[in-house]
Amino acid sequence: MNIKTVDLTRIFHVGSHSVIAVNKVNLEIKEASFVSIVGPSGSGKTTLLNLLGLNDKPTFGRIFFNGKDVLEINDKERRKMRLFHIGFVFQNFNLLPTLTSLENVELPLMLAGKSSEEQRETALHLLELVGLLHRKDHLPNKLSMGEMQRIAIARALANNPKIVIADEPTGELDSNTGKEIIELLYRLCKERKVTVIVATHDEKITSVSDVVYKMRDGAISGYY
Amino acid sequence: MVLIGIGATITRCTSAVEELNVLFRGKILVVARGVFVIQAFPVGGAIPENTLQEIRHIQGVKSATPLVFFLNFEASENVLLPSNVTIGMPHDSWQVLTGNTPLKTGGWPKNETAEEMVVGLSLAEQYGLNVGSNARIKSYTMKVVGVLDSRISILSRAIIMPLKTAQKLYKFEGLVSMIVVEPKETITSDDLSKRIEEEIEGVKALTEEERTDIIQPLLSELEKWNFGITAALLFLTMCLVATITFMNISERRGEFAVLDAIGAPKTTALRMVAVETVIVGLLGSSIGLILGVIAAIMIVSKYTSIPMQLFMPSLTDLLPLSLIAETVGLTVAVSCLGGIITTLIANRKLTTEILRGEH
Repeated sequence: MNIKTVDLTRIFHVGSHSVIAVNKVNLEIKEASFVSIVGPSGSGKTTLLNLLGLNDKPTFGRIFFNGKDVLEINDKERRKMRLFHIGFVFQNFNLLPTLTSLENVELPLMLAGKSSEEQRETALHLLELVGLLHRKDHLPNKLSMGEMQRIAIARALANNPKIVIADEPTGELDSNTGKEIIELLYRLCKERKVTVIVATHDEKITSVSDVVYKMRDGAISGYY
Repeated sequence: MVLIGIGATITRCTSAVEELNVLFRGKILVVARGVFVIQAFPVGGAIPENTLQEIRHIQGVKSATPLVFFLNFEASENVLLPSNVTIGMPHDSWQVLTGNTPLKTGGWPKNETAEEMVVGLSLAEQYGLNVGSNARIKSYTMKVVGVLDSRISILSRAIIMPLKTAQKLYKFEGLVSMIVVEPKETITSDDLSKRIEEEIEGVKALTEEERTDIIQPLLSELEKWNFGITAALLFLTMCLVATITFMNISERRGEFAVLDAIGAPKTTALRMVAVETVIVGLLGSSIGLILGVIAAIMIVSKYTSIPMQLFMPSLTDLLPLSLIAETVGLTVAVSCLGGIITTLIANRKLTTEILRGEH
């Protein structure tokens, strides 16, 4: 899916003053490309990802998915977009602690109205893809950080999304595990033709990216 | 819920007094002037036994039966409430007290001076008494000749014996606690009551209506207090349930935010909370009621020396279905409402803010 933003701006009002978290960002991301967004903490990476992931609404500006203005659609449609077309991977995984690995992956499938057989089959396939089939019955607190991140990726892929957005997916992982996660995301991008957008400080990620956007003070300061 | 259980037991105690309505229906009770009468029995006071003859000579009196009535407290324990009562009455007039209530086993004492007694079912079970058993009362050895099968609280805890025997045991010779008068069909209770009070000095002749009038304000007052206490406790319970639900939901805002972020419909969290709170409300109120009743029985048992197990057969009286339904219904409703309101408030906060806060 092609993504384009036009003057994307997000302003937060904190007390009496305003903070411009994302400032007139213009991006063009091609389908099946691997894009990294880098920048220091507080530069607006996460806010930008939340806007692209339709978790948040911009104060100004436009977002187009395949030429369609996604800010024109209603809340219900935005939810559907998030459920069916966007997979979000959080830095701190955000797995539901009372569900097993398998159930966490099944959750988006259940929300999408898939039959229980289909949920089970797809979830098991995704767990196999991320190499954690043997951990399917474990609760998140019994998993390592890397395993939790891989489960989170499997969950993000559950409904076969066209875009995967990952917020510092290697931020809490050791370098070996981080490398595995990068390889996994890269493989997904190239083999499944998924557009992957990653906010990161990790040079290993930027080295495999098709495009790297640099952010500073909420604005895109350059790209390569 | 524990407190509601105690409230239920207080209600039960009040209804035990109301139960006495069924005794001496349509009859006049003659007691000493100034004595307080709880529906069917005087508390303390005495009238000379020869008053009986005077009453029997009054026109309109069909029958007159003397009774002695003593409240017994456990001597060895510091208890607030009587654990049983002794009733003495003529050996040929048992039906005046018990009506058609059958004896479970045995028969009635045979004569006026027999050192024999009939005991209520609850007492018999507590002390393992049966026909032929002996029991020491006021240093006399009394033989159990019958067990009375009555659901009325006071009769199930009664020791019934011949009048003369009771007077001897309790050093009450020549005195009676009250005289139960049955009017002839030709006269109304009111008229006969007035006539007795006019002709005999120092007594009060109470009709059924008058007895009810005496106790009713007290019962109403008790009921009001009980209602107030129950309402206050229920309110407190609701606040507690709502607070616990609020805390639970607040802690889970992260989970709801994740659901929102992965595109779950807005109603998903609400439905989850509704189901959970209904289950928690059902379990909480059920367990609470059970614990409440156990606590209440323990308290009443402590202050009456009546063993806890003897309350078990009357559990449905202690905890009527209507109270169960009210308590469970209200708890579930409050729990559910608290959860839904909290979830709605939680949903107002931006998902991105919550997820960021989870870091």
